Amino acid sequence: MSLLSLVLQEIRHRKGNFLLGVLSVAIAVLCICGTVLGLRSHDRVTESLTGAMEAATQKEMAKLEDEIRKSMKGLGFNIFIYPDGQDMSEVYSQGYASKTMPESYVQTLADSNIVVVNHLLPQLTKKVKWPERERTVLLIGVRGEVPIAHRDPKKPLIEPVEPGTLVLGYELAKSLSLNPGDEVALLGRSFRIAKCHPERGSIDDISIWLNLAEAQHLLDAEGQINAILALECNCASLDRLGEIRKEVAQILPGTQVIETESKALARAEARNLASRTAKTQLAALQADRASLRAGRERLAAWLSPLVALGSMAWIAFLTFSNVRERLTEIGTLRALGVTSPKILTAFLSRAAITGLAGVALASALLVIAQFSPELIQVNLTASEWLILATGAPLLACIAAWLPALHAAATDPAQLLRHD
Amino acid sequence: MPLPLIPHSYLDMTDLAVISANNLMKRYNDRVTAVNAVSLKLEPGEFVALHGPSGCGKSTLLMLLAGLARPDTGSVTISGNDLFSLSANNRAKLRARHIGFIFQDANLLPYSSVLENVLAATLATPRANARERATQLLSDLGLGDRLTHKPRELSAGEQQRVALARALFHEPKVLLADEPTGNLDSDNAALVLASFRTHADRGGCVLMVTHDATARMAASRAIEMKSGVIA
Repeated sequence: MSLLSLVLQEIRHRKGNFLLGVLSVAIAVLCICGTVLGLRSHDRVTESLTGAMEAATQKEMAKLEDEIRKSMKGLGFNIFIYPDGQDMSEVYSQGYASKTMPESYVQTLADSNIVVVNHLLPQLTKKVKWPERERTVLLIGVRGEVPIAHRDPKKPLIEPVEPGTLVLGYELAKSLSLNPGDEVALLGRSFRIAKCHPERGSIDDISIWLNLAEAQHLLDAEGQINAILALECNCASLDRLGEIRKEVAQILPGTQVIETESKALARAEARNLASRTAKTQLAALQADRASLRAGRERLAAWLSPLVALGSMAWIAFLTFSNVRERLTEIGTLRALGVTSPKILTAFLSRAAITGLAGVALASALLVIAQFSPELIQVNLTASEWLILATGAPLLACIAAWLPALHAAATDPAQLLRHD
Repeated sequence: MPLPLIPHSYLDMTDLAVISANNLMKRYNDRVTAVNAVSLKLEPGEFVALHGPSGCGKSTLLMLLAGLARPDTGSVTISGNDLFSLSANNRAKLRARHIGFIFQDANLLPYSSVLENVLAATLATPRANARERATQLLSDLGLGDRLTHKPRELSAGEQQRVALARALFHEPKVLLADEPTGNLDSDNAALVLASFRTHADRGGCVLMVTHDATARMAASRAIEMKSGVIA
């Protein structure tokens, strides 16, 4: 008969004590594994969340970037250059300048080495009564882009209005039932409607575009314009208006430069704001997750040892109870000549088997849990399994050490004496 | 019931005194003197009954002789070996080889079969052909058909016979029995006593603590203890 078979027989005989020990070890192992796997799961979720947020932010930023690019192309950092001495409050209130400047200014500008502006469009704008239709309209005389001399000529960004034709704003065309191809009279002269713009929801809807020269003629302003529209400014700094003013002032002293549209800027700022907000949100998410992880780490830091110690205390109690129950048996074995170290070994072996069985039970439960998508992913490494398989029996042996030592060291005469 | 035969003639007959005790004293908690200056000697072939009132120190003396308890003073010699000059482990090994011990209650392992209970003696000292010897011993004691039974399935007499087989497994020179017939009916008691007699006849020695007059009469010599001393 071997010591191991004695231990196994005793375990079979006292199943309750053994199973309570096994359960205790299994609970401790599950608890410790749970904290480790929970932290890993947390890290995976954090990675997933932040990754998704970063991807979404990047996508949104790319979209905004694209929109900005498009808006920059469409609107540029568009500026108006107004004549010297123009009251800007008047421009702001009525939308155009009452003063004029020579159309040659545009050519002067185009022939200069101006680098901040890509496209130059002269125009003459004035609010007039359309006597033939009894409407007040905004008359805008335009011509195609004036090529900037030191650069390659480019295709005009906006199509020039052919002489003898008009382009009507949406509201005018709709309310007057005018369509492309129709002939209309304007200020005593006949024009063909070349195009009707779709609705823009702005003053454009009551505007009429015509060839600049014809506009100058109709408005008695030969060779005059009241604004130069400059599109697509290439500004290195944020103070783009300052840059443009500085450069234009050197070429056309006295002229006034204002930015006509703030949409591009607003979009750019919106994009920057969105970017900052996204970064802040990402940082907040990361901080939240880090804080949550730190909390879980703190919990694991005291819970795992506590559970391990609780399990050890329980095993110590169970072993002590087992020893108490087997005092006569121990005495008998000692009387048979079984040495104290063998008695000690028997009890420690029992504890080790308890630890092993507890790990086996916990492992089985973890393996089962792996098949359930509801539960955490079990991704312990081989070395971690090995630590569990050796650590649990070792801790069980340490827990059982004192009761086992008590069993081995107690005077057998005390165990057997009854007279 | 036929008396069982113990079919072994293994005893070393050269020792005149198999076990001797000299001036043994054992006190508990410095208040109770359980054994007081006891000296005795058991020679081969002796079957000695130790009797006396309860609490007189009989069982304690038995423990001292088996080396299960250490005396405050005095010595015990088994086959020339001073028991208490040995380490605890060597004392245990000597006990395994030379001393058989039987209790009033059989003290069998409740979770082991009859055969395994006898084989429990090999936990202390391995022995060749242990299973065959244990089976033979049990058969000789009339338990050949109970080898796989658990102790709870046996009567008190049968349990005591299993304990006897376990005690005799290593062919001990000394058989120490603590009221072995106390819980037995007369037939089983007679059977156990006959086994002791046979053991003694084959050169061993038996020291049996008993209250039973019949058991005492079966012994070749009786020693009476009173208040820790041999009267």
